[in-house]
Amino acid sequence: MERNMQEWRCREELLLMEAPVVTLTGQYQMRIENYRFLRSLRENEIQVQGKRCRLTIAGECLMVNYYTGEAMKISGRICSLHYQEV
Amino acid sequence: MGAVRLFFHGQLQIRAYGRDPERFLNLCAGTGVTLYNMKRKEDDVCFVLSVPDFRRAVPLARKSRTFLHICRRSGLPFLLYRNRTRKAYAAGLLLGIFLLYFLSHFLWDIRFVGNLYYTDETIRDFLEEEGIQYGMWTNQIVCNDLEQAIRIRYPEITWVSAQISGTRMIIQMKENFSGTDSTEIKNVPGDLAAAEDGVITSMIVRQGTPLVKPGDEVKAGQVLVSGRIPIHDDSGEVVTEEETTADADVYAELSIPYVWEHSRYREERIVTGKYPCGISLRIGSYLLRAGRTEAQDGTFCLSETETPVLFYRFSLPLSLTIFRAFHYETCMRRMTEEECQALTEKELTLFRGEIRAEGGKILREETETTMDENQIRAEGYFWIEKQIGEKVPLQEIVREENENGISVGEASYDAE
Repeated sequence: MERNMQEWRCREELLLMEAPVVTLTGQYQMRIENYRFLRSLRENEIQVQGKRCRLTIAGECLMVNYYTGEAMKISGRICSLHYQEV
Repeated sequence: MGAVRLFFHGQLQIRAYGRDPERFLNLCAGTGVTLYNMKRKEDDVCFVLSVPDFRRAVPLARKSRTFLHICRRSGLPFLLYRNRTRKAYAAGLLLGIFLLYFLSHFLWDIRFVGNLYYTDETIRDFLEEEGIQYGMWTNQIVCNDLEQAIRIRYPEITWVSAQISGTRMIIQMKENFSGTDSTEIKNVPGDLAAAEDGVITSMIVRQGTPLVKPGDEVKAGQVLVSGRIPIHDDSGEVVTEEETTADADVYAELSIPYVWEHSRYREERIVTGKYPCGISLRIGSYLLRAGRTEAQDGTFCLSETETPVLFYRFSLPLSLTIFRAFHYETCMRRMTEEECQALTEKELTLFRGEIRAEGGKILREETETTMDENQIRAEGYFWIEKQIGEKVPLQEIVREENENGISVGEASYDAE
């Protein structure tokens, strides 16, 4: 319970900092929240624009399982995640 | 959840192309349109949209100068539209749903849980006598009455619960074959005698006159608590005796010898061949058999029964049993030392379990295992504490006057 509360506080701080929340499950699934828009969609690279940074996800057979204004889920073989300050 | 929504609303596989398809995707996300399974195919972007979302996405495509091409339509609205002329198909679907609903009101399966002594067939026959059979309306079954009837018919079943779950009736029960002695007559004057030799460790006398005390060594058959209660007058003389049922918890420490012998050779079955299998199909109360469904000499049969279940609870009135017959030969094999040790330990565990089941508490044990070429032998002693009192008919007490003139009772146990 206490651990959940700590996680929640940490998440809240990140949201206040306008940082994208990235949840990576193994090498094959990723969920991104708190972003601005999708910059580019390629089979081996997806670029997501955050509020203060840009995320570049490189991999193979990348696919967006769902894409809404709040969250997106990416699946495929994720090789690297690159942050770039804007 | 998304897949269910897509199915009911109808889904469209879209290919978007134009100068900047990403802009169109961001406009969709910004206006609350959810895009599924989005991936790049060469210069185009393919994704899935629900029909309501597609209607909202068309103006956005026009705004972003993106062209949308519908590749595939699927889901319930399109399925219904495609089959709009097939009236028999729709009627069959509706009839199927109705039949499923109608048949779900009948009893199609009976399961028994917890019965060891009484077989499923025995209880199933009794249920048939009570009017419970496959294919009857579940509304006609009164579980409370059925539970009561089972308890009355089988007194050894101490607890029974009947419940109907969907089209299945589950009867759970607990059996008790220990500690019920119907020949025992209560409230008849009697003594409490020792059932075995031992040393008394504790006594709690509820009724009667104690004739022994903790620390005394007693022999089997010796009266521990007499059912005669002497009534003394003021001078200490016995005026009369009240006859009652002696009732006490008398615990004694006793030693039990343990001897177990077993041959070191074990009979083993070696499967030498497999016979063609047989099947049996039960439809309601009818049973159809084909092939080999019973074991013959030199063969054993393994059977596996499958009952199809719909939606977790709807058991269909069918069951298929597959029989596999194996031919075997028996041979004698000498057990290794480890196997002998394991067998000895298993037997000891069983013996300990028997002691505990009889209400005994193991204080200590000393056992030794020896094994030679042909034989395993375990022997030793168990020191246990258990209740040794057993009810016996009332005995005459031989009274003697002691030095102070107070009579002291001593009962003589007569085997009759």
